[in-house]
Amino acid sequence: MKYLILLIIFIILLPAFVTLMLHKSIGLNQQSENHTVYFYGNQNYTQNFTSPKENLNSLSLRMKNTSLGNKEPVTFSIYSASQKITQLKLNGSNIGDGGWVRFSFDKISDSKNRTFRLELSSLTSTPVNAIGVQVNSQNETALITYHIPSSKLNLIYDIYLSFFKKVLQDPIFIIIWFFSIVGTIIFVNKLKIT
Amino acid sequence: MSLKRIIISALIIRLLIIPFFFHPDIKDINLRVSYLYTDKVLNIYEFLQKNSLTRVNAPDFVYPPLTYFSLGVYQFLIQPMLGNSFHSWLFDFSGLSSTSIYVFRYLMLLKFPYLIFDLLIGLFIYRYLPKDKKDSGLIFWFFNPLNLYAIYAIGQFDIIPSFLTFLSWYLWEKKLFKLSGLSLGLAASFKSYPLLLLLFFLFSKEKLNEKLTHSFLALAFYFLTILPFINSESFRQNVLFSGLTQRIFQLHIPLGGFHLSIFYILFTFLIILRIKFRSLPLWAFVLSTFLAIFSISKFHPQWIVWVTPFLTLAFIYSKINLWKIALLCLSFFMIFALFGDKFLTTGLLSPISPIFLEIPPLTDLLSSSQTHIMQTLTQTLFGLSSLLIIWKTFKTKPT
Repeated sequence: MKYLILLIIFIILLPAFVTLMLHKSIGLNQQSENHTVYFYGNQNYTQNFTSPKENLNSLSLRMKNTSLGNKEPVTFSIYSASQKITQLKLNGSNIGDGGWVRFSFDKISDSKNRTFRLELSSLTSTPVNAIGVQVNSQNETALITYHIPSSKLNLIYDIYLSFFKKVLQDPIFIIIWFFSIVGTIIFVNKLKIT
Repeated sequence: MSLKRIIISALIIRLLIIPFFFHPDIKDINLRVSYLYTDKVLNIYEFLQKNSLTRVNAPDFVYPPLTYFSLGVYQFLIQPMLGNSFHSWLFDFSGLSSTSIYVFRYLMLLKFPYLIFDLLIGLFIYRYLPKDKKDSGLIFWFFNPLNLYAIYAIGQFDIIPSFLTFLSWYLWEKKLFKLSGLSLGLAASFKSYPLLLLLFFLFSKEKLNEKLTHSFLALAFYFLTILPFINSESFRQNVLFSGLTQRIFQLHIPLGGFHLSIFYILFTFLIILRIKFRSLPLWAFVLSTFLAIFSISKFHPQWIVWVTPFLTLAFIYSKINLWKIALLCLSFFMIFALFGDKFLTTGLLSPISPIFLEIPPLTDLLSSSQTHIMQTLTQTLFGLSSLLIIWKTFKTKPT
């Protein structure tokens, strides 16, 4: 019985143990998507976002390079007010046909509650081979921000909190899971096992 | 500990793992089987070969047709619960598919059948073991970390052929030879590996006509399920001569210009032992065959489920020390920690938070020579613990 209790505690605390190995945390986590907004030529893609945490040092966008047809230069920039904070250059061939693309840069220490503008451009792309960014129905970019955490305890708290929030987002799962556990206990208790 | 408490604890632990651990293989295989009802594809092997769009991310289907049809039909049946976003999730190759808000539901529903086969193995272990050993056998089966990891965290379907193989052995022990043959054929129709065991059944002390009927039924059932596809080049290439099947023959000894597979040497040795010691339990040979294969090949983590039902019997009947089992578990987990795939370790937790994908695999922290040394050591440790278990198993009193 002791072994079983320890096993259950181990499974529940496993994410906390693994978190001790982590050096990054997640800030914004907007993953819903509805349609694609394309950028090419002089038509840039811009989106404002507010960083919820300090030490922003990378972000992922959900992008689409249809049939991997674009091999043109792409520029990724982050601005705060009108000041350029960072700029990265990549090639369209680095972008998949629907998937997350990660942009890493030097950490921005005072990023908490600061509003940034991200900009994507590709001057030589055309409407035919344009690269797209996935956005939700409110035209918000599918975006995940990564930060260097200030403390491990905060990170563990954040992970469990975001996990519980994620569970609550899918009521059908909660119903299936809850009834599986309760149903199991009732069913096994009613079994006549010899 | 009462039986009901064992089962309830086992189920609760499983329900804590099933929805929250994710390995991309479960998505990949479910993408392939979804073609059964989305595109009404009957020959998945030809379809994947021809369809260039899917070939980018789903190059082949390496399992026998029954796997495709049974998992496809199951997915079709649960489709209303999976919801509309399920298919776009299947086609998400971003590496962050576990971040979907519906991932817990998908994993819960897709892995749910494994629970039934896992419980059924528990039931047959319970029925087979003597009264005073039932509880410890069941506790070993339900709570060993190998099963929890391979069946529920990785989430591959190997528990299905594993159950059918175990059932075949159980029916054989109960002298139900025809049903045993059918069960073995059915197991091989999900994954071909149980066919390896046919010779051990054949060289048993039972009557010749019963053994021949058993083998005939197993082979007939298997060939019947693959018959419609046997003329398909893609099927033969992907299933009968797949890289996965060939993997067990990889380790060899060069003899002049000829390469002798170590698998053949070990297998022949085990067959000779079987012929010489027919009264030794059949499960000891099944266990030894699989442990021998894993000791000499780069095996997949889910393959360990082929062994664990028989390891339970060895634990009870051969009184194998827990430290030997612990050594086997430790080396098993070390092998996969050194595999270079983060989804076999910390990445399994990615449905809880994608941040767990930020932890690099252990191999990224070691130099290539350190990795090689560690891999050799852990594989040796696995081989050594397997050998200790096999040795102890063969010292079991004949039945």
